[in-house]
Amino acid sequence: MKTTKILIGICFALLLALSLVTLRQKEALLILNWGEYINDEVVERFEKEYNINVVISLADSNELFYSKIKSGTTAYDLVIPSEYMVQRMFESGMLQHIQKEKLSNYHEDMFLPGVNGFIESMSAVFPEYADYQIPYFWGTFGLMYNKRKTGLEEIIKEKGWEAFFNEAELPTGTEVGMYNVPRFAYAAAMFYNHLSPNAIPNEENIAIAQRTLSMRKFNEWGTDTLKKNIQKRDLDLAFVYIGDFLDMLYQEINDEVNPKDISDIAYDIYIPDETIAFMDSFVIPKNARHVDLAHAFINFFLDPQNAYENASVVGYCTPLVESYNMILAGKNSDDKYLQNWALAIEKYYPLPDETWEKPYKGTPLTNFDVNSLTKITNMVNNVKTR
Amino acid sequence: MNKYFKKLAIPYFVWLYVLAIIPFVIMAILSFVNNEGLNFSKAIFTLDNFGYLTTSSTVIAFMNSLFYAVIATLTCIVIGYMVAYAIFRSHFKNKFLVMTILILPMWSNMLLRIEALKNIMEPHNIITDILSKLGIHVSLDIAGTPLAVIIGLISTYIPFMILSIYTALEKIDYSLEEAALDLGLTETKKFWKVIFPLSTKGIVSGSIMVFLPCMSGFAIPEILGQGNILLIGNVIDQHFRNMNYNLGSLLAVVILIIILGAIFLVSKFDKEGETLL
Repeated sequence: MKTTKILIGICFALLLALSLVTLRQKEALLILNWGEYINDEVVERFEKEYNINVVISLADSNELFYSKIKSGTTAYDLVIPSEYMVQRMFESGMLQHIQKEKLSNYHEDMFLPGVNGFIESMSAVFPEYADYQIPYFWGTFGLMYNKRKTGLEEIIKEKGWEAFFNEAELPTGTEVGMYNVPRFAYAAAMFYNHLSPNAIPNEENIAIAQRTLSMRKFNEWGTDTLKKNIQKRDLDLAFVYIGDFLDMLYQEINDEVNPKDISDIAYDIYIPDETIAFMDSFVIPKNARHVDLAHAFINFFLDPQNAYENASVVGYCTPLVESYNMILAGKNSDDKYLQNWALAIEKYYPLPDETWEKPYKGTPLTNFDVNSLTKITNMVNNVKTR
Repeated sequence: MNKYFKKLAIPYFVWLYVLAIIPFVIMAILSFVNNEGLNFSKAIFTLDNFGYLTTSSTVIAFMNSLFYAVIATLTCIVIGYMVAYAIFRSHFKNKFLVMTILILPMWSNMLLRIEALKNIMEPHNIITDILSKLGIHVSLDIAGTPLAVIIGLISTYIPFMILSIYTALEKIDYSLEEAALDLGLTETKKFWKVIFPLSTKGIVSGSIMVFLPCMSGFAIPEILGQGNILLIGNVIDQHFRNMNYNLGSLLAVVILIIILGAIFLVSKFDKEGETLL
């Protein structure tokens, strides 16, 4: 009997030790973010100013954000999902509305016209959108291509999606990569057919998508690997986030040993008129424990200087007008990096002019239910195993 | 067995129940319902998920898993046996050190090793860069091919095979070999009639240790296959990513049953329970 008791005691001691490991010593603001998506120096400044620990957990998909919050094992105070996931979280009653009176840096017209236009479009289908999130970064998808491949740049600029899916249109031996998220691959196939990326995946649309994706063999289905492979010439063309492209570009213009000029970069990105637009925003889950601090954190990142510094390490564009102007002001700076950064943002995040139909490019994705996602995944798997 | 020693396993059994059996029961339940994530409040009983079991991509992914796992295991047996036998017969004083060197790569993270392997398999990498500076233009352009995945599986799991075969060889009583030679067997015959049969134990347990992770893994085919090669593990991973826990669980349970069935068959044919354990 005695040994049994001792052994059961050992079990409990082990469990206790484990639970102690997971306990945090100091009160902390818990943030759920994407990888490499925040400037740690700005976070450290926030920690000092508010005398609190900020603990950032990472996830690599919107769906993972959702299930992590839904499971409720950790009460995150801030999450940074994309627009369609904001909608889904709201519809599941997981979000609390942002109290704008607590955000001293917040004011109307602080966002770029593109961001305002994006919020307006989203609000048409999801009226509460503006009240439940604060924009963090935004952008589109595009076709990143290798300039060293003769004839590729011309044909991509001329024909866009038509060339992407037609092997015959491309220079011989062009290696093409597709983003390995079934939903994005489905959207690309829909763009090729001039259909909406949010077209319901019924039998007809699934068949169209499968036919389109089967038109050519993709050399790689990847995520973060696509941009790297284009940079090192193992791939010539791929459908990626604009931030993937800018991330590689920033690394080269900011290289300590051999900084390059933006004109010397051996690859570029083409943004077709029909593409995916996205915006990642701060949202506060309903079960957040530090609601005031979460607001303070959002407010901190609405400060133009902080947002400017934050944008300097993340490949996407700030949503704030003032920070955007600060980046563009770098054109007159002596610092080569700031000059190149300004040129990049001006080129890849242009302000809208009269010729634009709407102030931003692309179409935001809407929320698909699990059944539709399973159908799309299955379709993409059929393409891969054909 | 002594009662006292039986109790020593209690801590492990507690873990086993918490981390293996309870999750398995939950997955089994998830397979038959339709709900959101792990929230059972709105769960509806359904057999819809079973329809996906027979779709062509799932079946192909399953066959791929089986194919790759069999190829990798067979290759591991051949290469692993040769290495283990060479060490067994060698005159190294410190065989333990040799074994340690063999399993040294396992001390680094598996994903890092696979990423490094992938890098070498791509047309442009540090080695081809250095070689091209010397005027040699060669590259191993196999990333994204079945060969790359098989090489990755073998290089990752072969230490398990070597270790278990070597352990079995070490246990063979040397007097048996002496007896065989005394009775007039040649070296080759001695190997096939005495050594090899006595080492099958190691082959079987090594095979199980190689076959199972090859069959169910998803990281190696994902990285080395560049998303083009789909094993059943990748399909399960995708469904969990889409938050379709129901279909993901169903596939996982089916795989588990097949694997358990295979182990059961092995133990049935081996009535003395010699090969296993």
